[in-house]
This record gives sequence, C-alpha cells and structure tokens, in this order.
Amino acid sequence: MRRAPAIAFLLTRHPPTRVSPVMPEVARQLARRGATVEGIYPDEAVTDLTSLDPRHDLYVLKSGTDTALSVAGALHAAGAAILNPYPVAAACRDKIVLTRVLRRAGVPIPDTFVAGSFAQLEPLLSDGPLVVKPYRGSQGRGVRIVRSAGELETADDGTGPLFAQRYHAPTGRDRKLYCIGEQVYGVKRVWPVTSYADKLGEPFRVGEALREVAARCGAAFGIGLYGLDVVETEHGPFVVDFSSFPGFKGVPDAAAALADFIWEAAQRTRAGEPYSTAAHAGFTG
Amino acid sequence: MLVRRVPPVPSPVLVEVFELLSQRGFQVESGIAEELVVRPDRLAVDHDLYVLKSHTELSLSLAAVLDTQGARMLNPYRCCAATQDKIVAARRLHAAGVPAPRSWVTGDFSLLRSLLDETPLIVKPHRGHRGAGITVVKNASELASLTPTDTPMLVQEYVEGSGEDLKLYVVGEQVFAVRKPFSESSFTVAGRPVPVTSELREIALACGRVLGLGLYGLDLVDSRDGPLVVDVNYFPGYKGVPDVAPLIADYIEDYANGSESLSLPELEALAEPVGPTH
Repeated sequence: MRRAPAIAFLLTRHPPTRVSPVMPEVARQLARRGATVEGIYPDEAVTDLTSLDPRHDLYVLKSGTDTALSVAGALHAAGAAILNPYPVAAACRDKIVLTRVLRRAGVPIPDTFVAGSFAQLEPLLSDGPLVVKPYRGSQGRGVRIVRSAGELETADDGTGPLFAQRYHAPTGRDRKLYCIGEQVYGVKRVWPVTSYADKLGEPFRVGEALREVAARCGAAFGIGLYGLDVVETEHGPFVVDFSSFPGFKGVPDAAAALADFIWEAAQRTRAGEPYSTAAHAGFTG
Repeated sequence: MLVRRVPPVPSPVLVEVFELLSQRGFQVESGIAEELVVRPDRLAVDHDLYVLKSHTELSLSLAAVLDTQGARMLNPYRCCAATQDKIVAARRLHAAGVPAPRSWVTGDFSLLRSLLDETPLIVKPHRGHRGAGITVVKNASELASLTPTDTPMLVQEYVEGSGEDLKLYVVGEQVFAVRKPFSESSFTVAGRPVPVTSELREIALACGRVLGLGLYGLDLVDSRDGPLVVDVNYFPGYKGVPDVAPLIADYIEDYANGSESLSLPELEALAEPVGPTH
C-alpha cells in the first residue's frame, strides 16, 4: 500500500488583515486526503544549511521572498523536489531571462531594453512611452509608465540596471490568466488595484488565442502551474508579467484544483519521477 | 567575455589573457553589460565561447539568457550561479565534505540570539562579493544594531583566524596559494605566494568538482582544526600568482577546443551510498 505523501509549503506569513484564503484551504484538502502537510516560513526561521536534508516528498515554493528562493535553492541542491522546479522559479524572478525565454517560445512580448542608466534609454522615448520595472521585482511593484526624460530620471533609483518595455495602451482591463494543469482561468482586473474587490476582478471565458499564449508560456518552462498578465492592445495581446506561483485570486474553486495538482505532483516525486517537463525545457542545474 | 571594470581599469591578468588569445588567432571581444543597451528579447549566441568574468547581477542575467540559448560558457553559467548564491554554495560544499564553518540562513536576525551563546557569527549578503556588507556579530547588542535587509543573509560561525587571509587560486587542476595580512580592502592587495600543501590542494579541487568550476578562487581561514573555506568565487583576479595569464589562456583555449568541459554535478551522484538500497 502506498504511503501518503509528505508535502511542505514554503510560505510567507502575511499580516492577519490580508485576505489570502487559498493556501490554507489547499493544505486542508491535502491533509484530508491523508498527506502530511507542513508549513515552513524561511524568513522566520534559522535554516541550518549544514544539516539541511529533504524530509518531504515535495516542497511547494509559494513564498516570493528571496530568502525562500534561496532555501529552495539549497533544498534543490540537496536533491529535494520543488514545485515549481527551483531553476524555473529562479529564472522567472529575473525579468531579463523571463523575457528571452517567453519571446523564444513565440509568446507576444513588448520590445524590451535593459540599460545601466536612464540616459541610455532616453533616445527610445522618441518612439513612444516606456514601462520601467525593477528587473527582479514582482507583482507590479515599482512599475511605472515613463513618457519624458524627467520621468525616466525619476524612475532610475541608481540601484541597478533599468528594465524597460515599450508601452502599448490597453484597450480594456488587464487580463490575468491562471493555469493549473490543463485548466486556464481568466480574470479581468483594473490596474492599478486599490481594493480587495479589485484584486478579485471578474472571471471571463478564455478564448482560443489567449489559451494558446498561456500554453506557450507553460511549455517554455515545462511547468503546469503559473500565471500571466496580459494587456489587450490595438496590436493584439502582450504578456507583460509572469509568475511561477501566483495568488489565483478570483479563480472559482482554485483550492480544489491546486490540491489536485499538488497531490498528483507529490505522488510522482514520491515515486522518484519528475512531475514536470522543466528539465526537457532546459531548466536543470 | 563579459567583464566589469571596478575600478575602471581592466584586471591586469585579463589584459594579458586577451593578448595571448589574440596572438593565438582567437577573435576576442569583450563587453561590459552595464555600458550597453541590451535587447534581452533579441539576444543571440554569436560566439563559440563566452567567458564570464563579471560578478554583477546584470552580467549574470545576461549569462543566464545566453545559457538558455545554448551558449558555451566558461565557467558554465549554472556553476557561476550556484557559486554566486552563497546559500546554495554552502549546501554544496557541505555535501562534498569540504571543511567550512557551520552556516545558516534567516530573514530575521533576532532569531540568531541563541546561536550567539554558542559562537560568534559573521553575517554576509547571500550574493555579496569582495567583502561588501559583511558584519561580525559577537554579542546581543551587536546583533540588535544590525540593519534589517531586503536580501537574505548567510550566517556563518565566525572563526578567529591567524590575522592573515589565505587565498587559493585554481586554473583547471593547478592550485596556487597566496597569503596577505587581512584588512577591509585587502581584496585589492596582492599577496605573497606560499606553498600549496596536499591538504589545501585537495580542498581546492573538491570545491571545483562540487561547484563545477575550472577558473576559481577560495578564501580560507586557519582554524584550530585546520583550514576552513569561507568563500568561493568564480574567475577571480589571481592577484599575487606569478605568470598565471598563460595558464589561464591555455585553459580557455582547451575549453574553447572542447578538450576541457565542466558542469554542475548532481549532488546525489557525489554522495557515498549508505546502507542497502533495497
């Protein structure tokens, strides 16, 4: 008889005011099926790297902090199975790498530029506005539309390279696509969000064209669990952000679908099999 | 070559290596990532071999892009990435049995109090380079005065050394040792060459194997229990190693010709089998 899998979640603790109902429900559903479920908070623990050995069949990397990613890296080095695979999660945090991987997979991406300082980007403004983002940022933090040299200078905090993309005016609300296995869920959302209701957005039926865009993103990394932000423009859709573990906010019954996916992955890793095709997609090491 | 000039003069050893490779008929081109406007969406592999000298985040990102495109790189990108992340590197060194201080990682310094009862600690940014941002913490008040950071910190047992830095520099299988008095800016100072004991040689090559590096350097401290590795860097400056440029050029040439190759090993493949497996 098969032992039920042991699953650990690498998490960030949120202030109690923040509503984040999905992961606790996923953990409850997995436990109900018999899995041993443990929450690990790498930012609130002292992890002993000398004795760090994988004790779980699967580590689910939900936390977006650098500490959690590093601990995942150390676990990965020690042979742990991580969801999503550590090399994919690390690549997705770096927008420079992310851009190249998605563009090569035929995903529509705005023209992208990286420079050491704002002055180098200034000539590009004559062709229209740019969107400047921190190149290691996530979840829309520090994203701004830049139309003038002055705005560009303000956007350069001098801490690192500037990552800029050509701005395309949206023709409607932002589209969030959430993928869990074969399922693609769509949520329309205003940007920037100002309330929890904004975050939940409004579900919409994902058409063939966007379904194809989402599938290409997943295939590029060899993963089945991810989310992307799409802007609809006059020139068609552009993928402007990608996450290897989004919040799935506004997805009906997300917890059940996530629990199914994680359960299935843990069954595979327990048997010593890969649960993703990330290695085939070139994400190893 | 992806290089970074800090201070803004090229590393002397690099200039010599460039010259030697050019004389041997290689077309050598160098670029400083920070001085270019890069199109990451279009970046393509157009050299037979890339040599990653720079340690900046941007250079590593570009190296990652080249890697996903199938570029050959020395040291290989994945090995450089594993080395640059001190948390990943610490786990790998431990797995290979390399003598190193005990290491921890945390996002909350206050949790280190109980460790301080056992040992003084040294706190390092997990992707730091050249000693930037390193603090020695010996008591609770020093711990309390640490500024919280956004980046994860590697915490190590602080080992009181002999007051001298011991550096090992490696080119393939060739190991060199230099010693110099420790100071905060000692990374700019060339040391004096000292003999490489078989123990040091063994330690240096073990680090190279577990991190998949061919051109690299190690920082060590002399503890009561022998030498401990406190840091590993890919493609260092080789300061104080006499006549090293021709050896580096040879190694790059061999690598370009395919007679040398490197990769990041699976740790499971390194582990000794323990007990029956069935």
